[in-house]
Amino acid sequence: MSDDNKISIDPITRLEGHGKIEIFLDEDENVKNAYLQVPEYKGFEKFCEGRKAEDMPNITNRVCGVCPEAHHLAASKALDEAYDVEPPEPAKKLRELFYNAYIYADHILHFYYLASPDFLVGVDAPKDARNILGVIEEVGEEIGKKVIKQRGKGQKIVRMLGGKSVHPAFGVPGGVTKSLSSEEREELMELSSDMVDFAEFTLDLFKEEILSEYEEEIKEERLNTYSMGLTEDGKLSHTGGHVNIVDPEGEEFDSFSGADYTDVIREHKESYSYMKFPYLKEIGWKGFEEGKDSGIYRVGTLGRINAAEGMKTERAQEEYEEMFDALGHPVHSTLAYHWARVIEIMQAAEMIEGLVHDEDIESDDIRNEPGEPGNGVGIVEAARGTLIHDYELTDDGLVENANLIVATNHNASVISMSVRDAAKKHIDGGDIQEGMLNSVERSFRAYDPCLACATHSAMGETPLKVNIYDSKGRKYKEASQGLGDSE
Amino acid sequence: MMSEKKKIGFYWTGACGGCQVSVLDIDEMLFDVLDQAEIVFWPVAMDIKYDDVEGFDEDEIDMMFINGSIRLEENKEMAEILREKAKEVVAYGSCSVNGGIFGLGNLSSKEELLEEASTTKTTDEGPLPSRSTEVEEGNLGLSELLEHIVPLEEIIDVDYYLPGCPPLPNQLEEAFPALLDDETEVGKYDLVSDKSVCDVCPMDREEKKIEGLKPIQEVELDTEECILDQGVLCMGPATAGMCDGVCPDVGHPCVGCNGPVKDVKDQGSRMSSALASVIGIEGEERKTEEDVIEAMKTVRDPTGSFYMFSLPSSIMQFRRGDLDE
Repeated sequence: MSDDNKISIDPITRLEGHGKIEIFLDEDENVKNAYLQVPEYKGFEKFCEGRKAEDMPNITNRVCGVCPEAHHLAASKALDEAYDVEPPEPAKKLRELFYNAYIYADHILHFYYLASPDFLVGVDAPKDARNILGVIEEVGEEIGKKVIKQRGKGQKIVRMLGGKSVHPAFGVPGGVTKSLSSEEREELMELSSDMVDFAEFTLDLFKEEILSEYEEEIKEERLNTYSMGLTEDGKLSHTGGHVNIVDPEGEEFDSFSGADYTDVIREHKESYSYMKFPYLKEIGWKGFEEGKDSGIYRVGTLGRINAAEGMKTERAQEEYEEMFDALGHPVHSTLAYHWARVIEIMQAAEMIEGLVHDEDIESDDIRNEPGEPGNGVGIVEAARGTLIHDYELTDDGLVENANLIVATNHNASVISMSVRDAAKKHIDGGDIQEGMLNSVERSFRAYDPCLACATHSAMGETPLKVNIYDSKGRKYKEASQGLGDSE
Repeated sequence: MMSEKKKIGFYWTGACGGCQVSVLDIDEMLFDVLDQAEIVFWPVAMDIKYDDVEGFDEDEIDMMFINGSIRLEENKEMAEILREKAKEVVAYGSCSVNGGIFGLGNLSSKEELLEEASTTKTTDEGPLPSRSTEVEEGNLGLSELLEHIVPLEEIIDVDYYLPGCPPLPNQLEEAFPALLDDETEVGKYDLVSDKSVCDVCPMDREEKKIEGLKPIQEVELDTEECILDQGVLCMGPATAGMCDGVCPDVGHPCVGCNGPVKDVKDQGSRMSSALASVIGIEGEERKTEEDVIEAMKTVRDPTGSFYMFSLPSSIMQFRRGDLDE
């Protein structure tokens, strides 16, 4: 800890792990500025060099153990392009099934285990209650068991196709390694029969218990930025199509696919963090500013739904319309990430229902022969946002160069800004109000910055520490959640 | 003595989060774990700051599960502090047992690792991440990379090894009750299988002679037949088989994520000898040395393939030679 007048929230958590927020106070002990730091680094871009191309789906899986499926599919798609091969239709459908199962399970994990304690139990509730067990207390054990079971169903589908639910092995250049037997498909029809109902239940719960109570807050915490997400024929997609970008007013700004991403996105660097800050090249990096003149954009559930003209499935489409009717288009409220997330649970459930009733997924025609190795870019929407894998291969099919831009990376700037704004609102004259730490973290958490949050919330500890320093750099108060307060 | 619940903790160092999810993926069994043990902290909760962790008494935690690789200075420091606070430490997952996939970073220097990500085609020019950065309002500190990733055991004493990337529910169903029960004797390496993935794989390996290896994308695999017999690299012979061969079972080669079988130090050497015994020899006719060398050349990226999850615990540990000094 340095001797500045600053507050440290260390760690917050994000994609690959640890995170840290440093908050500086001014003379009046109000928040002057906040910095998001990510003290976490692996060096994937370097150590992927020299590896076999076909290993990339299994190596990059390990960028993130919460969304390995996203990296697995982005890598597989990049290899399709690098080997100039289009997977057969059944393989595409199997990938789609695999992916929607992941979205379903991951969004459930986030919404129920991680986010809902803030709303259903409340940020001011004792820490012991602010977890999934507290939620179960609030909504009843029967529902709690249902949640665990439904998340397990998504994981089960992934496991069926990829052998493991964490770090599955499934995609290869030109297709997949596994299709389903008719017994397995039958099992899946049975397994998935109540997923749409559960999505319905989740939407109702969100609207009745959260939206009705927090409507004002949902409208309040806003950031006017560009929004980005994959769309297929204009519809919100997780697996293919074009990346669409709308400006802060909701007007079409740009659209790209594949290797053209380099014309659109640049990454700003700050030496205080291992995480880079992507921005729109055409607008430029203008610092942590919102608005049309700043190149900062958001990805993830809210970025996607803003960038899409509609949803792929019927029920989800109705929900899409309801959300924009209520909040206008585009939506800039950070907490609306949750609303968009529960709408995506519905789309995933409907997609799964459609796919398991498609006989094609029993087909043996799951791989096409690849061409010669070249370059390829694979883009998918991870639960948390746009994910780009870009490989250049040698003639032997080894990786010569790799560039990865991951979901939480795109959101680095908006997360920093949201947290800064939340801190400004909740820290008053250097005084930490009850629930402040959790409110700040709640803003961070809306983006679903991955696992650690989910796991700690499961057990109810909020990993935050705040040190408050006065303007002379003397520490006069320290508070930390999970360990009690101390003067 | 009163049979009290064990106090346990989960902590992650440089990790992907998959080990944390693996604990959730035991679904309702988590409640059985909670019958035996009280989770006194969950990983990130203790990632706070060192003075907080130091507030714990020595040996206050009965059993500490540490997952992740030792990548940053901070990871090392936390492992050392946690060792003091815990009676027993479990190296959980392949990163802590063998260094794991991030151990591939040991093929480069830490400077090379940092420079690469800072110079990709989309990255602006600017300074590399730094231990200390002056901003307008003050100073921001950042934990630095260590020279190499090392297995947890090189930093602190470890009482049990529980490898896997991540450990699977079937492993945990056995491991948790055994580890948490004082009556059950568990040896340090008892949770590492002495069987290879081939030994537990649903496909039978016939150890067919192969002329060389081909990339999976060039071979139409018969899903009923051993993958290695079909001439595609599968790490099954050299990899510990706690997983029941779930990957080959869905038609995908083993990538070696569990690390070496029990009592084997070097996963790659084991794989080399397994391959050498089948490669380049056809029928009864013995090929010349040149033929064998030619055939071995079809093994693309042997280092990355054979040591994908265990380079830091291998004999090689890290790239030597042309690194600085």
